[in-house]
Amino acid sequence: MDIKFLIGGPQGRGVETASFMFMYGVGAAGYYIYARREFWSNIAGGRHSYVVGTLSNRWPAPAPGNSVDLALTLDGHAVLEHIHHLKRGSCLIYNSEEEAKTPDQYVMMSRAFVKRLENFARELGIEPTVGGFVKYLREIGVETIGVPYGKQISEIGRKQGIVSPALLARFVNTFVVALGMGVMGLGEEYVTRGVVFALGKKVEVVEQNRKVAAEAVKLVQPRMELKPTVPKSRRVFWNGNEASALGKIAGGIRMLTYYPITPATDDAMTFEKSIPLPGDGAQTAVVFQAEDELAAVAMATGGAVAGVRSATVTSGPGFSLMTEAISMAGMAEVGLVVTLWMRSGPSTGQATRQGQQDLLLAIAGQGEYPKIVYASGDLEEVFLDNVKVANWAERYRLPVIHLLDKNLSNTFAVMPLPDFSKIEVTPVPPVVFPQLREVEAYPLEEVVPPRLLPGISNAVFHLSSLEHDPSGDPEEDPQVVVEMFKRRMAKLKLAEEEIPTEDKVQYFGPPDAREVIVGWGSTKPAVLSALEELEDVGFLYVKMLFPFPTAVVESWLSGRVALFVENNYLGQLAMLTKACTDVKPAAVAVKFNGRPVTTDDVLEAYRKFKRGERVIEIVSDL
Amino acid sequence: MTAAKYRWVRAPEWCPGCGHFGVLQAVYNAFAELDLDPAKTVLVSGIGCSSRLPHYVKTVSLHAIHGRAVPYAMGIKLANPSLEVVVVGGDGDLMAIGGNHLLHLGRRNVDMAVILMDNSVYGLTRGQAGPTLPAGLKVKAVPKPNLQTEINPLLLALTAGFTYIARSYSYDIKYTARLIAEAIRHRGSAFVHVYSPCVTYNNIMTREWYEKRVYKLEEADPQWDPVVRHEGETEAKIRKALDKIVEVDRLPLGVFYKNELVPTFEEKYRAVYDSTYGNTPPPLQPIARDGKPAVDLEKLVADRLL
Repeated sequence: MDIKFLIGGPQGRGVETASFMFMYGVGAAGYYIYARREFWSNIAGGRHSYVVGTLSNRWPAPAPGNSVDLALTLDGHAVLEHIHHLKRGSCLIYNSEEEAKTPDQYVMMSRAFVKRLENFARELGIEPTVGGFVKYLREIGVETIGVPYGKQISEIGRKQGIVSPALLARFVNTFVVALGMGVMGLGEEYVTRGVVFALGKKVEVVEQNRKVAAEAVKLVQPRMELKPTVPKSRRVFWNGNEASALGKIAGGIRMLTYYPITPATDDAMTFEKSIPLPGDGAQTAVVFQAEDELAAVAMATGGAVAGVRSATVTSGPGFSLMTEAISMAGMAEVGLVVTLWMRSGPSTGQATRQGQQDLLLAIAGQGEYPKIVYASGDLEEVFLDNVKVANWAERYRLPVIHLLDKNLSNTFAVMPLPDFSKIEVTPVPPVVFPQLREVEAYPLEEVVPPRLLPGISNAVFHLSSLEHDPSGDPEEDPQVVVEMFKRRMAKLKLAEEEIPTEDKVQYFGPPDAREVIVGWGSTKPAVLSALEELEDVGFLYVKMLFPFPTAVVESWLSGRVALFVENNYLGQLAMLTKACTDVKPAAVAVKFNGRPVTTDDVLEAYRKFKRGERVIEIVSDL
Repeated sequence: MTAAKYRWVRAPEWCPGCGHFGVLQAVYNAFAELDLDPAKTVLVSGIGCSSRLPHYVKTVSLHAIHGRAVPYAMGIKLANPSLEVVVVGGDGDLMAIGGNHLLHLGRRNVDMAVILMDNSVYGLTRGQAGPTLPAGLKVKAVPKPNLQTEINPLLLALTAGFTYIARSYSYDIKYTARLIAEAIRHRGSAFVHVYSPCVTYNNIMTREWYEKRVYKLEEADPQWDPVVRHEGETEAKIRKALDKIVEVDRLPLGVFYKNELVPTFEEKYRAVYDSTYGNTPPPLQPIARDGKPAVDLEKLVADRLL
């Protein structure tokens, strides 16, 4: 059983807490969840924010589409934001006390959206109020459940002896979640578990909310029959930032540097909260908030020079600043992991919104040097790939750009705990000389130089950002330059040979499908969910973006029709594929409004493609 | 090891008579005096004439990119606090493009030393005005007098929180070596400002120009004592240092300020984050056992399990 849900309300006024209550409560009932959070680049300004997702008794739970089965709204603004995300059979829970309000009375609503609502109301002859729109929803077959939030919460408060000056504001999140759980058919027990999880240590607050929830859940009749179920696996509740940080720790990253930036910061914060690390004799790690991204990447590189697996986390703006230092890691041959949490650009763009616009930036860089650019597409990959990229950085002694994005960072999942036995950590032992030696840091005969560490190898050696000879000292003799260049670049071939094909490219669907959707990164779950509804369509999922897996991609795509789906404007993977292979993309579907590609988007793009469109712009807004 | 033993195979590529030769010899002498293990000493630099210095020294070194020597060095030091880490660089590298990093090193008090080789010009790009070139001066390679007011490196270092602040003059090798050795020995972030004239592009601030102006603090005032010995005298010592740092007509050399009562970043990290930090530095700790993570993953995810 799947239920697509959303919980929406004014940002900073309990909507996040409500979503945690809901997700944990549903998780406690045995379900899996795949959800994501959408919010503005403010803290508590009261702009509309929501969590949209799917709960399911199977994993992977289907990715969100463009409509939901159940919408829990904390205020009338949230109702208006989502009238287009409800359809026949959907269920809306809303505050009937706000029925008389008009869109322009919600001061935090985008003026452009107010206009669109007013136009929509005019066109359809709807009264332009919350009540008018709700009536319209009822007419199209949405089940609307209006509850007078203020009145009911006041009554519960009186009955339960809760004294609080702002009852409505304090309890509306718990109240609405409880209504939602009631409608789904889950009882008080699961609401309570969600409340305890979300509100944690504050005993009195938990107790008051528990009372509110217990009363609220009885105010509605169950309309869905969600029964507690027994999950098939051990489950973890985490988001993408957390999965990434824990993957880093598993992969042996022991220095993490960062400068605060959305959506990367929580990767570093989770790492930080885990120190000291659990485990005998392996607990020391350094986390460092630098003065800027220039310093963050330099510090991480310094850490790697000293022999610690090191990473820095950032987003597009910070990554741009790191360009020169990443090139230096390539030149000086230092293993470095850069986790690039892409967001919607250009420039500052939409700091809290989704985008896949930095693929070509990550590949390009300053000058030519060996590097790996690698993307993950779901939370299990985010966790496990962090281990792989840490291994590769050290194995090939080069920078690895790990491409993640805002969609992944704010994906919340109750999902099977990844299989730890799949994790392999492969440290490269340092060279240790019995007596002090002067050694070449870059011997010509080695594709990957020996691992020399200050204070450990008993060696004197020079590392340099300048073109150098094997000793590491500046050299511009044309022959030496060519020798050194080719030696460095040979790492790319070595990596291509050693890294297994399934780590580079994966194919899903009928092996001989004539039509293939091609994608990368976090569009994966949406494409996979869409595939279930398409006949004879395959999905080629590219993880290794540089060095580009030309042969594998050609072997899957030659003689087939390739539809690229991407979260950017240019269709950057399509461009890359054209540049690196013989494949001619048949069509490109792009979405660049800052929202992730959904299952319905993929289906819609496919329909348009079948109608002959070749450049398909996706505009959905959930 | 003797000073000569710290010499690397390559000969320096500086102009004859360059002030940097003095700093290089002072570095050899200081390393010899401290008997530093070349395999446990890391010289870090950015870009510029002075940033070539690590290539002439027999220690581990990282010749990094322009302006970023300080954060590279901090990364090395924090990853392995048992290493001796020294940054060298010019006024363009450390005060202009890398100025921000210097500020933040000071406030962190990481146990490492920075040697500024100051000649007030960009030598390697042929003589543009450096950030320490006094306003109104016109050096020979540029067409007009300098419009930008100069930075006083010691004033900046004091404000930033460096706990050892000294100044020397590169042709006085013995004195420079003494201050560099003291800076390395100092527990905390140390800053040594060395006037190191550029004989090719700075035709104003020459050897003669400097030698008319420099004097030694302890010679001018035998009672001069820059060391903070208890917390109560910190403010008074800062004021005394400041008084000397702002002198511009004559240029004092020596130690302006020294305070080892301030905890280092490493000590603070140990106290706040991880009591084992520093016992076995991270590079010596296992990250895997038989290919499996050394960290206890079950414990790591325990509070996230449903």
